Amino acid sequence: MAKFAAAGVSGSLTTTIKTAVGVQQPASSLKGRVEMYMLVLSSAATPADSAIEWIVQKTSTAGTSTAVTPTDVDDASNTAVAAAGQTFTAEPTVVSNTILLDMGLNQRSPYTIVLGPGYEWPIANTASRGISVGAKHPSATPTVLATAYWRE
Amino acid sequence: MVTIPTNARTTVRAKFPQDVEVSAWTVEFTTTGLDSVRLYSVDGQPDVILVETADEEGDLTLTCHLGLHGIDRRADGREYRRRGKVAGSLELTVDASTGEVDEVEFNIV
Repeated sequence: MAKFAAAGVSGSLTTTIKTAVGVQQPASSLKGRVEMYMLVLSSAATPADSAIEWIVQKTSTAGTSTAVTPTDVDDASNTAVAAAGQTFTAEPTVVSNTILLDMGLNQRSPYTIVLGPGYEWPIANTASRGISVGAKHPSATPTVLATAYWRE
Repeated sequence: MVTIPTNARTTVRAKFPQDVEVSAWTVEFTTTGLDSVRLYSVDGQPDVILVETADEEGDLTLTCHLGLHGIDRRADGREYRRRGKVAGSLELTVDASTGEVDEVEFNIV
């Protein structure tokens, strides 16, 4: 299996989720499951003590974003099947009852989530199915960064 | 025009003609008009969309697209976006004084 990474930045946070990075199956030409195994969350905005709520959730549409070309982690000239995006101007449609993580985190604190072997977050082999990594805040408006790692 | 409340999730069901194949692959909903609105799909029910509103009031348009949707890659590796054709739309007004609304239906022709 080949490993890939995609780093993204959100738009300025609001009271509703802004996705920093999204990874999704293509619209067609599916080749198999995608499994996310690591996430790195942080903010490069001016440091402040804001309790940012991070939410990771399954999605069913791609939304509108700036494309991110997945990095070939293995450096073996692999091309990802999954597509990635950042700085969403139209959020992807999230799937009801599929929250994978809902966590409060100080804006000053970077955080890494490593999923154990066998417990990765899969993205089903369905067109445009994906995982979005986003955040929100009731009043603060920093941008946040997220890097997702997956294998396929 | 259908009025729905703020800070709620309203179920909207698109009613398709019988000869239309309805699947998660080929049905996509989008909104324009209010940035704070979020859409939730329901696994196994591609004709249903949950419209989640926040504090913001105003008008929005919910549009249903029919056809393959998402990101694909050309032979040269460049990505392009697919979106189905507009099959129908529903005008909604978000109003704080409105009570919870039962399922809303609109016809796709």
